[in-house]
Amino acid sequence: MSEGLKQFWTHPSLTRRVTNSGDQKSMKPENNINRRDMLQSLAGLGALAAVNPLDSVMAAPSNAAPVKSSKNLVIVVNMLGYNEHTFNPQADDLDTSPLLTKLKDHHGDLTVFKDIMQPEIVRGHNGGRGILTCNKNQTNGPYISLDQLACEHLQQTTRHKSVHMGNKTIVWNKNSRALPTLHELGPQKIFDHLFGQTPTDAIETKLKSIRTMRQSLPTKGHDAYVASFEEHEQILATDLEWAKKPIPKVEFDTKLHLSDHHGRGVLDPFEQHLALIRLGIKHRRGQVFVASPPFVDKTDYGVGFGYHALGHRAHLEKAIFNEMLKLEQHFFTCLSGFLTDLKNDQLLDDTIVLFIGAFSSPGGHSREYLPTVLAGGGFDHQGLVECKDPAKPAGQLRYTLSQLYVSILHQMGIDVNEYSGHQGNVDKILT
Amino acid sequence: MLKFMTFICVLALASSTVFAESMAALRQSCVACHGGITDGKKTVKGSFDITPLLKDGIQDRHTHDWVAVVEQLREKEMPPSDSKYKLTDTERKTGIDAVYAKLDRGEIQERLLTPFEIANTYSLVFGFDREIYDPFQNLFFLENVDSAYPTINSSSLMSAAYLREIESGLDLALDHAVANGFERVAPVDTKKYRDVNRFELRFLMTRTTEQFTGLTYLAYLEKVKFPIDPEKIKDTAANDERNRLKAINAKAIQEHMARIKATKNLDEVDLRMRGSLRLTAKPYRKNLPIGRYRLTFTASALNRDLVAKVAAASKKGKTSDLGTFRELLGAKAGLAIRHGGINRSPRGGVAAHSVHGKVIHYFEIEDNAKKEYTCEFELTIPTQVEMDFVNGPWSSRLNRLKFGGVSGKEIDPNKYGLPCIRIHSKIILERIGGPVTRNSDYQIAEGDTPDRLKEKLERLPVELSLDSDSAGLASIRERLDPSFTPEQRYTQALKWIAMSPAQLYVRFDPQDSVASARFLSYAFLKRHPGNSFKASYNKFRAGTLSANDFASQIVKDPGFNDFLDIFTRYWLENRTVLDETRFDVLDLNLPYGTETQQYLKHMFTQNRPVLELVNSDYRMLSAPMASFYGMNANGLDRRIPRLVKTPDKGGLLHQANFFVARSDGVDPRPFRRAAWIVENAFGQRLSEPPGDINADQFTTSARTMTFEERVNVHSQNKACIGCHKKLDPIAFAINDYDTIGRITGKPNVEAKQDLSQRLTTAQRTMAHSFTTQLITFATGRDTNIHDMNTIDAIIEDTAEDGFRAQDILAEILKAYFKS
Repeated sequence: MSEGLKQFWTHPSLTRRVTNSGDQKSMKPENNINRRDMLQSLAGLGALAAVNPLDSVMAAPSNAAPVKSSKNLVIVVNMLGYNEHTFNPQADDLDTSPLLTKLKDHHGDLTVFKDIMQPEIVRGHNGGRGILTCNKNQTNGPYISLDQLACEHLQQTTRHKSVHMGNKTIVWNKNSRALPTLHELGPQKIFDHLFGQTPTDAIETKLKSIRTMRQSLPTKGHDAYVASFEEHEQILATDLEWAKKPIPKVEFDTKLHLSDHHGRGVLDPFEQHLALIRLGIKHRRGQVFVASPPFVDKTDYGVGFGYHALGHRAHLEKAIFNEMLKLEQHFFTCLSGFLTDLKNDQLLDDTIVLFIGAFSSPGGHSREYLPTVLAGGGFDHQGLVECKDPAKPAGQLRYTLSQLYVSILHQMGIDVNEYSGHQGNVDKILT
Repeated sequence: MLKFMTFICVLALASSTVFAESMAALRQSCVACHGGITDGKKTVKGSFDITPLLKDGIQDRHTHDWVAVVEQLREKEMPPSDSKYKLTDTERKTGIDAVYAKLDRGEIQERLLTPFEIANTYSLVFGFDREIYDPFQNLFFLENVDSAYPTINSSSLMSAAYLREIESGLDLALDHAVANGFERVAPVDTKKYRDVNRFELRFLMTRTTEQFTGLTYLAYLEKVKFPIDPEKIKDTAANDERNRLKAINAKAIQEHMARIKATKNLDEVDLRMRGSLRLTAKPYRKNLPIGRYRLTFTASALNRDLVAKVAAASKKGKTSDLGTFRELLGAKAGLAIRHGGINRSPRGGVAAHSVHGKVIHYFEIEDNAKKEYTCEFELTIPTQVEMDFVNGPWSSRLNRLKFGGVSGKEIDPNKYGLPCIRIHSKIILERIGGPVTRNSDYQIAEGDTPDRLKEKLERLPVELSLDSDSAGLASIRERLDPSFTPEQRYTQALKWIAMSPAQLYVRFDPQDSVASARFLSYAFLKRHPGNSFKASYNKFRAGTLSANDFASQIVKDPGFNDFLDIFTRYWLENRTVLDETRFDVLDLNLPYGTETQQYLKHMFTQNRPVLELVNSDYRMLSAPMASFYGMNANGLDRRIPRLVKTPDKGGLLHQANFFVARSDGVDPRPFRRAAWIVENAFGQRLSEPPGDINADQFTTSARTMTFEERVNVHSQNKACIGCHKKLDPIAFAINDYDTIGRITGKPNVEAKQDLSQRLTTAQRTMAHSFTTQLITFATGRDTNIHDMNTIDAIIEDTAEDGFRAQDILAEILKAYFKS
């Protein structure tokens, strides 16, 4: 055994056996480094921003007043993504793309980000979970999704600050936890969530007892619990306040118009979801929305596989590829209808619509060059933006997804300089 | 830029001289290949980027990566011997010491209860069956799907959303199980049924159109015969005439339903398929009142020999040719009585949080012999009941049997004598006791005075084994809003105790035996400690109960099944949702996980060597799994697996659950399978796959090349060869299984033999990963550098007897929980 290994094996920690944790505590070597103190002392060196991505981004809500924004945000994420070969236009003619041509009526109100990527990515199915966090390593955190980050900064001016009807694993709260979604509950439940009457008696009783419980909270320790409890109380109080306000009378067909009753997450509700979002915005029932086309499903669109299986096989046969294209075109047609409706209601300039795929190859799960469309929101839209530098196609991208997210937040009046630890924005091309 | 940042950060960290000295060598020698920038391009060999570690310093959140660094340093694997960068032994030691100084933590930290532990505790305390009604369903949305284990980092679960879901679940549980009873959620026409003690049950078709039923109109409901052809009505142009014709048909439907309602259950009923048949109390879709019941009927199984005939006639002799009849081959026809969900509407809708399908009783029906069957059961929540031909065919597969080469598009059910269960008599349900009035001791009884409620309330902190400081929690009752009734005060105070930090967090404290018993009980039984558990733990601490005896008691506890369920799921990283368009409904619903869970249970209870996890000559099989594997299911229980000798085909690597867990739900993933074996059975570390894998290319070449050929081409890539050297031989050996573990491909015999041979010598590495996983679950934290030593000691202590499962558990109890 070498000298180095001998020294290693005679390390004090390796020559004892755990007997109880009390002993261990006393035997634990003194830790000389206090990270927080050390980092504070280093603030002048400018290295701080890169240490904890959330620290700097999340600092604003506790220090600054909430932002009252007139802009709404609608994020539509397709967890299977879209095929980049059908999405990408030739040269700058959007009509050459079989998908983008479906948005023909809105080419002046949108920007297509060709070949945009996250600054760091994880591949495979699970990689898509970081689509709105731009965080590479979802297991370590901390991370928060774009919609929730916006909500952390916004003042509540609608019934719900955020409404999540997207896929299960794309929306993450400030504790890096997935939030429950209304995605598979059906249009009726979403309608009830937005326009249903909340019984005020039950909330009042709950609030009274929560307020009494708060007096018994521990005075030291369990900080996370105490903070969560107080936030819970605050949410209940806000809920009560909004529940007492009059609810607009809205007509909406919540029935599922399907011939196949066996599947779940079927296609048709996507149109209904988008229509509900439009109504929600119109009647001030929500400000930030996340939606998704269905992921696991059986369709009655005359295709041979479910959407997931179709994605896996689209590259194998032309016929399957065409079926996949048919579904993708359907989603773009839905988007087009949604943008038209917003325009007719004169809401498009106040509504930022981000339509994005988590993969650029549904079968291969490629997470490079994500199909991305930004529409509405009062941006100075460019039609097509090439994110690759034409002079150095293999070099670093000129624009990344995190920079786009920062610009979206800027457009909502939220002042952040970075996203998930990544600097920069695309303000100069959009405003 | 990154290099500059790294430089700045590392420079900044140099303000701590200890850190700077220890890390300087790593920075110099490691960054060049692991995160450094050369010619404007970042180099990340082996997919390991050390720059975030050096940038952040030695932090808990990088523990995994720092452990890897220490392992590489101590084994002198890095820098590689042919590298121009070298580290002296002193530099290695300095680096290792620095990591130990920060991350060597033996203490067990306080943790938050997980969603399962919370739901399980309150279902036991407040007395409701989560398999029938689960008010805590929504809590599981908040579990971080990326957590390797549900207990690690559980503290980060705490958020306003988590508290909100806990409170909502408690509100429902207390309302139904404590205050107002389940009638609120499961209405029963009490006036009508209060004194009814005998019910005649009948079948109700849940799907009644020809499009869906095909051949399912065989229960006793006849289809309505329309006087006017509906197609003709569609073609009628005039509105008035169309409405007139519609009205005639509507009247016919009404009369038809009236006839059905008036009919006694006189006819014999043939059950020819599983599912879709709901047994109901006489007025349709009603919950049965709570109480104790006896069910009686006469039945026989018919035509089951047809399945055997088809199997014998089948050219390939495959059970898959039998379609969903396969479970009838070699097994008696099975009839299950199940909970049918809590009915909420006349149209058949069930209540929110109602869970459908829990088996009340399971009958094996004798062939060709009329026999009376009876069972007794208790309903504590009013529900509907169902009767289901559990191993019969699925409706869509009724015609899949191949009759002498005629493959079934035949829709006439009477053309062949298809297997069925014939019910010859009325189905009689008698109420023999009840109604059951109490779900738990905390239920508010008629005549409970405020003092009596106070007394009940004060019992809860004791039952939950909360610390003595928590006795005051109950006093909140006095401080609640004056407008609350005494009952409201009682339930709200119960809720506060149940969601207080004293209850939601568990801590191990060597000085506090009650807190420690609580911690240990949640670790291995996933519930609050019962009195006998606390007594045993105290004896164990005092030395009057040996670790082995205590371990033996733990593995025999029913709660240990819950532990094993979660343990196996997370160890296999099983997040798979099978694609419902790719697999038969029968295969989608198989109890894959139960096989692995019961296999481990057997290993613990019988104290078997842990190598048997991957190398044994037995399986734990239930009837559905046996028929899935094409084995004879005769004599096997439908739900509880039993040990079956299967020479050379035992252990996890032959279990469908392993293949399901390591797939993506659509296609098999041979390298994900192999990675698990490499890391767990052989104890080798794998790097993250590189980012430029082109899966499309690999899949497309499947038409022209064998799997082995494609892999060999891929493995020539310099960046891939390191891991593929370890993965490929194993992937070849288990590539003949499909996504759900059916043997479909041609076996690579040589690779199989090699793998079997290697597994026979993997005792030590298998024991190492088994011990590591158990410690992780027991302590509720990831194993750290400190545990490396303990694990080695446990391995040594259990080596002589062959690294047995229960022995390892006993050693962990001794090492971490004795005091």
